[in-house]
Amino acid sequence: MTTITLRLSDLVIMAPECILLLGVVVLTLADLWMKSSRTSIGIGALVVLCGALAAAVVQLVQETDATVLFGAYEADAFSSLCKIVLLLAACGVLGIAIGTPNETHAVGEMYTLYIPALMGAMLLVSSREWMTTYVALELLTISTIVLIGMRRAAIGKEAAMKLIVLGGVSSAFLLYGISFLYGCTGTTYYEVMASRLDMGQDASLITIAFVMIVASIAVKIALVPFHAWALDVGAGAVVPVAAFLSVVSKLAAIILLWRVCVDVLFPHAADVVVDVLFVLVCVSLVVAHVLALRQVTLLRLFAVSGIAHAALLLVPLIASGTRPDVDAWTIWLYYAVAYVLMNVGAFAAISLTHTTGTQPHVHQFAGLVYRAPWTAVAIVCIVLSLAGLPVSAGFFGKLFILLDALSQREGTAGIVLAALIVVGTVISFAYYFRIVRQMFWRPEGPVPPSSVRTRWFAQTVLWGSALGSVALGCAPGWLMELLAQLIAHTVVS
Amino acid sequence: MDFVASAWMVPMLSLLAFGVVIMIGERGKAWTPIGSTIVSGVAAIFACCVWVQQWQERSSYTWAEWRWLTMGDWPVQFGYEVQSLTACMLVIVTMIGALVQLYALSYMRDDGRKTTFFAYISLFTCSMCGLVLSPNLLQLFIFWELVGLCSFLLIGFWFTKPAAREAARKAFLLTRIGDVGLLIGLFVLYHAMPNNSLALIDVHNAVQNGVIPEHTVTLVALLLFFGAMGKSGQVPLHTWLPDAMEGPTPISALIHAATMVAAGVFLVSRTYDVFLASSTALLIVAIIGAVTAVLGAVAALVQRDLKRILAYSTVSQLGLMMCTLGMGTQAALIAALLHLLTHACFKALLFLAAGRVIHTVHQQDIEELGGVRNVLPWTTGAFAIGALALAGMVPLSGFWSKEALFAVLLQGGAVWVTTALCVSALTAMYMTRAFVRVFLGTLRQKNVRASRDIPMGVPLGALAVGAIAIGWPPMFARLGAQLGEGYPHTPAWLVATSLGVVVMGIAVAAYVVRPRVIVASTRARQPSRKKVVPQRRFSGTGARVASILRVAVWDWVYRNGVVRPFQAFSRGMAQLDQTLVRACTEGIGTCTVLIGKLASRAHVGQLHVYGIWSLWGIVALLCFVLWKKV
Repeated sequence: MTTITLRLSDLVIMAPECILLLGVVVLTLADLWMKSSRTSIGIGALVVLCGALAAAVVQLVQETDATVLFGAYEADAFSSLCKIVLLLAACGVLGIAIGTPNETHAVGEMYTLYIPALMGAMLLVSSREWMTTYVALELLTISTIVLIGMRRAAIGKEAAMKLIVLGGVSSAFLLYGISFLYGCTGTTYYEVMASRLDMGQDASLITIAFVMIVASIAVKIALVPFHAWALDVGAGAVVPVAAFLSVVSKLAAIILLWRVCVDVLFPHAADVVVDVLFVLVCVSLVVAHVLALRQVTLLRLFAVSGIAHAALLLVPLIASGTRPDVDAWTIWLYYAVAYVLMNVGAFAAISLTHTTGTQPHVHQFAGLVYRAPWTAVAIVCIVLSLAGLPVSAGFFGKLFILLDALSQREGTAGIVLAALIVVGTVISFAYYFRIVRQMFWRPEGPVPPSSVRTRWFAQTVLWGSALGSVALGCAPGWLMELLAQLIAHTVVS
Repeated sequence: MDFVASAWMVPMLSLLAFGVVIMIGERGKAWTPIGSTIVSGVAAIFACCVWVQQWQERSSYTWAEWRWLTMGDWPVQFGYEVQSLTACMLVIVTMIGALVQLYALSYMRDDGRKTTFFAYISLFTCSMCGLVLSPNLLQLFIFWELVGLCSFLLIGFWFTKPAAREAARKAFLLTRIGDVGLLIGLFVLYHAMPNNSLALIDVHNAVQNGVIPEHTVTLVALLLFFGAMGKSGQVPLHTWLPDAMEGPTPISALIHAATMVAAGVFLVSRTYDVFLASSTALLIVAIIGAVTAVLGAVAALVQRDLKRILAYSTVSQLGLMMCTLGMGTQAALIAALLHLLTHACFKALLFLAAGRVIHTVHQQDIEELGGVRNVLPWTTGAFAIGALALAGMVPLSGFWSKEALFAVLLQGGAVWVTTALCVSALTAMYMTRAFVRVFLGTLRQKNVRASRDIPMGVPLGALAVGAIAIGWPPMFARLGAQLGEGYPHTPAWLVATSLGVVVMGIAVAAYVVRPRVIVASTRARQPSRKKVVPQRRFSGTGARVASILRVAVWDWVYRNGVVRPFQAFSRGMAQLDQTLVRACTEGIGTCTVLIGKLASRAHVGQLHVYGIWSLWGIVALLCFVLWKKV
C-alpha cells in the first residue's frame, strides 16, 4: 500500500475545486464579521465562482490532462468544459439570487451554500472512482437540501424533507449497486473495475447492479418514473434555488451518467443499459410533455419541462450505442450550453416578474409587453429557444440531437426517438407559448406601473441568456467546431 | 469604386434602416420615417451604380465564401451573386422601394404605427434584395420565407380590421402551401445533385451536362414552379392576392404588384435551365400561366373595388409572363423578364395613383366613384399613362414588352398568341372601365379637397416618366441585349393586330361603360336629392346587346361554372373539416389534456407514494431487462 501524499502540483490540477473551497471558507468567515451586507456576500460568491471559472479555462487552454489521488480524480478537456458550463450556470443562478428579497432564515448562507453544492457537482464531473463519486453526490445533495430547507415558508421545509428521503432512496440504490460491483471486482476505480468485470461469470449480478446504478442516477436526474419529487421540490424552493436544481444539479447528474456509462457500463453490457435508458428516455419524453400541459405554477412547469430537456440530453448517449464519438459529445455539450442559457434565462425572467410572497404563476407575465417591453423581448427570445424554434440555440440543439438519433441509431429505435422528440416539441409549444400569450394579453383593470424590478444582476443574466441563445442560433457552427476541436483528443484517447 | 463587388451594401443599408427604426420605435416618429426614406434612396442610387457598372463591364461577380454551418458533410454557404438579371431586379426593388417610402411619408402620415410600417418596408426591401442576390437556392429559400413574412405583416398591418386579419391569414396559408412544394423541390434537387450543392451555377452545370435523370428534372421543375405559383398568384393559388389589397396601398404597390409577387417569375428565370430540360414542365407552366392570364383578366373585368381590379390585373400579367416562360426559349426568358421590369414600373404607378385617389376621396368602390379628374388632374394623367402602358399602347413601355411576349408566343404556337391577344383585349377593357368610372363623370363625394402633396407627387411623376422612358426603343433593345442573347423581333402584322386589339378593347369598353353624370335635381328645396343618370345600359342596341350578353352569359357562366361548384366544393370541404378533421385534431387535443389531468392527479405530493413509485420503477426496469435477456 502506497502512502497517500498530496503534492502542491496535485492541488494545482484540482485548482477550480480548491478555489471554491478556499472561497467558501473566507466567505463564511466574512459573513460572521460583517453581518449587515448581504449583497456583498453574494458578490463575493460571484467573484469566487469567477476565480474558479478562470482556473477551469486556464486548464482547458493548457490542455491539462492529468490524474491525481491515484486516478480517483481526473482533469481532462471534457471535464474542464463541463466545469465551465456548470460554473457559468452557477454564476447565472447567483446573479438571479443577488437582490431577491430574503425569504429564508439565513443571511449570507443563501449565497455561500451554493459553492459547496457546486463543488460537489464539479467533483462528480472529474471523479473516476465510486467513493469519490458518492461523496461528491452527497455534498451536492445535502448542500441543496439545506438551501431548500432554509426557506421560511412551510412548503420549503416539506420540499427539503422530500429531497432528503428520495435522495436517501437514490443513495441506497446506488450504494447497493456499487457494492455488487465491488464484490465482483474488489475495486472501486472505474477503469480497474471495467477491466475486471466478467460478464461470463456474474452476468445477472452485474446486470442487476447496472440497473440499480442507472436507476439511482435517474432519480437524481428525475427521469420518469423517478421524477415525482422534482415537481414538489422545485415548487418548494425559492426561485434561484429552483434554478440551481434544474440546471446545475441536473446537468451534474447527467454528466455522471454519461461518465459511468462510458467508463464502466458500456464495455460490458451496452445493450442492456441502452435498452433501459431508451425506455426511461421515451417514457420521460412522453410523460413530461403531457404533464407540463396542465401546469400553471411556473416552478412546477419548469421542473417538468426540465425532465423533457434532460431526456433529450441523454439521446446522443443512447444513439451512439456503445462508445460515443466526438460528434455525440459535441452535440451533447452544445445542447447542455443551450439548456443552461435558456433555463437560467427563464428563471431570471420568473424572478424578475415575481411578486414576493406568492408562488410564481403564469399570470405574472400578463401584459408584460405593455409594462416592460424590452424584458418581454428578452423573454420571447428565451421562450423561442425553449420551444426549439429557429433562430435559437434550442432549435439547433434539438436539430442536431434529432439528426444524430436518426443517423446513428438504425431501425425503429431511432425513428421512435425522433418521432417522440418532434411530437414532444409540438406539445411543448402549447405550454411555452402560454407565457408569450400572457405577455401580449392586456390585463383588465389598471395596469400596475411596472412590476419588473430593476435588479441589475438578474437583468444582466436575463439579457446574457437571451442574446446568447440568439447568437448560438445565428452561428451554431462556431460553437460546434470549437467544442469538437477541444474535446477531440480527450475522446479519442 | 467597385460597385458590383460591394453589392452586399444594398441589402445591408435596408437592414440598417430596419434595425435603427425598430430600435428607436415610436419615440422617433417625427424623423425616423424620413431617415428610412433617405437610406432607401441611397440604397437605390447604389443599386443603380451596380447596374450601370455591371452593364458596362458585362461581368458577373459571385462571392459565396461565408460558411454558416456544416451539418454532416453539408456545408450551408451564404454569399451573393451579381449578374445582369440580378442587377436589374436590384434596381427595380430598391427604386420602387424608395419611391414607395417617399409616398408613404404622406400616405401614412396620421397612422399611429408609422414607424413600424417603415421598419417593415425596410425589412422587406432587405429581404427582397437578399433573395435577388442569392447565389444558391437555400439562401434564396430563406429570403423567400422572409419576404413572405413581411408580406404577412404588412397585409395585416391594420390588424384591427377583421378583413385585414383574415386576408393576412389567407395569404400566409396559401403561400405556405406553395413554399412547402418549393422546399420539397429543394430536397429532391439536393439529393439528385452530384455533389449535393444547391448553388445556382452548379445546378446550371449539372442540368446542362445531363447528370440528373430526366424524370427527376421534371419533378424538381414542377415543385419549383409550385412554389412560384404560390408567390406569384397563379391559379389555383391566386386567391390570396386580391384579398391582400386589405393592406395599405403603398404596400400593394411595392409588394403585391412590383416586387414580391414577381419573385415567382424570378425563381423560374433563375432556374430556367431546369425547366428547359423538361418539356412536360414547360408545357404545364405555359398552360397554368395562360389559364391564370385569362381568368385574372376576366375577373378584373367584373370587380367593383379599384384595388382588386388592379390586383386581378397583376395576377393576369404574371400569368402572361409564366405562359411566355413556358415557351422554353432564350428569347422567352428575355421577353418575360422585360415584361416583368416594365410591369413593375407601370403597375406600381397605377397602385400609387389609385392610392392617391383613395387617400383623397376615401372611397375605392368604382361604382361610388367618379369625376376624380376634377380634383386630381395630375394623378389622372399618371393613371392614364399607367393604364395605357398596361394595355400595351404605343409608345409606352408596356407596348414594347408585350410585343416581345407576342413574338415569343407566336413561335410557340397560334394558341398561345391568340390567348395573349384575348388577354390584351380584356386588359384594355377593364382598364378603360376603371378609368372611366373613377376619373370621368361627376364627383359624388362632398368636401373633397386635394392639396398639393409633394411626397405623393414625386413618386407618381418618377414612375410615369419610367413607364414612358423604359419604352424608348433604343434603350429597350439594349436592355434586352443586356439580359441575354436573342431579343425577339415581332413581325409587323402582329404589331398591327395587337394594337388593333387594344384599340378595339378600349373602344368597346368606352362605349359600354359611360361616365356617370350627376345632375342636380331641379327641385331647389331638396338639394341633397340627386338624380343619377345611369350609364347608357338600356339605350342603344349595341349597349343593350353587350349588357344582355354580359348579364346573361358571363354571369350565368360565372355563377354555374365557377361559383356554385366552388361553393359546393367548399361546403363539402367544410363538412369534412367539421367532422373528420376536427374530430381528429380535437380528439388528439382532448386526449392529451385528459392524460395530462390524469398525470397531474397522480402527483399527489405524498412522499410514500413517490417512494413506492421509485421502487416499482426499479422492479419494472429489472423485469424489462430480464425479459429482454430471455
